[in-house]
Amino acid sequence: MIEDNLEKIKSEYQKIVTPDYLISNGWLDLSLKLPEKGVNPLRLIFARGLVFALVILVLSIGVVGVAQASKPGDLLFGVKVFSEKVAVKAGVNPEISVVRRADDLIDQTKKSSEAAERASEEYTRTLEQGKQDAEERGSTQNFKQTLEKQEQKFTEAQGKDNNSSELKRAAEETARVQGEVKGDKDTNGHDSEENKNESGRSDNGENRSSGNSQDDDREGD
Amino acid sequence: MDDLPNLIAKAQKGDKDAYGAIYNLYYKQIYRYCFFNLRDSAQAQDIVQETFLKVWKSIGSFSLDNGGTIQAFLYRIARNLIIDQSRRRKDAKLEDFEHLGTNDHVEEGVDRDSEKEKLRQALSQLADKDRQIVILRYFEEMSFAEISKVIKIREGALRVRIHRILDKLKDLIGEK
Repeated sequence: MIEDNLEKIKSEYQKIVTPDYLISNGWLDLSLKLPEKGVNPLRLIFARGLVFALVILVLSIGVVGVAQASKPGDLLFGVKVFSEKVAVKAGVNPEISVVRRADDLIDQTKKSSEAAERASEEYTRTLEQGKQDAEERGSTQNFKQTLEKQEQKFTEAQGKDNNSSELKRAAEETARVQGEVKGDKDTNGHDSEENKNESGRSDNGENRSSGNSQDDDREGD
Repeated sequence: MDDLPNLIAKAQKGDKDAYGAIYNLYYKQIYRYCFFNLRDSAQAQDIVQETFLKVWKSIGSFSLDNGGTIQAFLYRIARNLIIDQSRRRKDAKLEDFEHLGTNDHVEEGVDRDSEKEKLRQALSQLADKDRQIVILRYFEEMSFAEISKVIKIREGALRVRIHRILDKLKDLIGEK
């Protein structure tokens, strides 16, 4: 019964007439609105460029990461030095180069005298550069503290390996540069009065002890 | 002339002529479906065009796998647009549905006996989804598989639902 009536309504439904405008112009109107399919060449170039840039970025990060384990004389050592320079310039870790070259030197002295020599040269070079950078930045105090720690590390390491001559030399170089940083030499190359006193305190144990004894005497009086 | 799967494949590659052939196959059906739901010729025409525009934009993602048909795809999009339109058009009353056959868009000579009128009224009282199921199943003669794609319910659940809808219609017209 209900199915019969649904059939009747269906016949009405099917008699709904499509308007003439839609018949004659429907597709014409629509075809003008349809956006072109296919790949836009500019989009393709952009997408390829983006993929290429991403690949380069990932590779660069990988190479820089691997380079961090390299030692002086290795193929990727230049990359490591470059990444450190970036870190120094960015102010992320200004003393990173000096600290790492010192660690490299201590590591390399355990391997061979040749490796130790190369590492020592790198350390000396980095030390000079580090001093310049610290002076430019005006952070000589931090640099001095770093050098003090380096000197201590070299002294401790000297007894443990066979190439201690390089470590000794490095410790001496460190002390020298430390002195120069402290020195803040004037334009004629002479130490200022204040620096003389300071270097005297650190370099000459006798001065320090005699000064102290004078103080002690006064207290005694 | 290409068969439908070929036309679809060509349209997916951007062939507008192939899509024009698909348009010519279905636009009258879609218009009828839209008009029956909206009771407004201008809106129904707009929705036909909008439906085919949307299908063109997303035809790349259409697949004939898993029982998909372009017809079901078109009806699904048309149905969603009708729902959106009905929400916007707050004045669209279900009673309008009762007057099918009294306007110029239906050919003359339509039988209007009282049983049919009762059923028409009962249809207007169904929930929208149930009414769509009746339209697609009994007026558009779509398969269960196709309706399930349009309405987005499982085929088994659809069969049960149709049974319940018919019961409800019988109840509403006092056949029970």
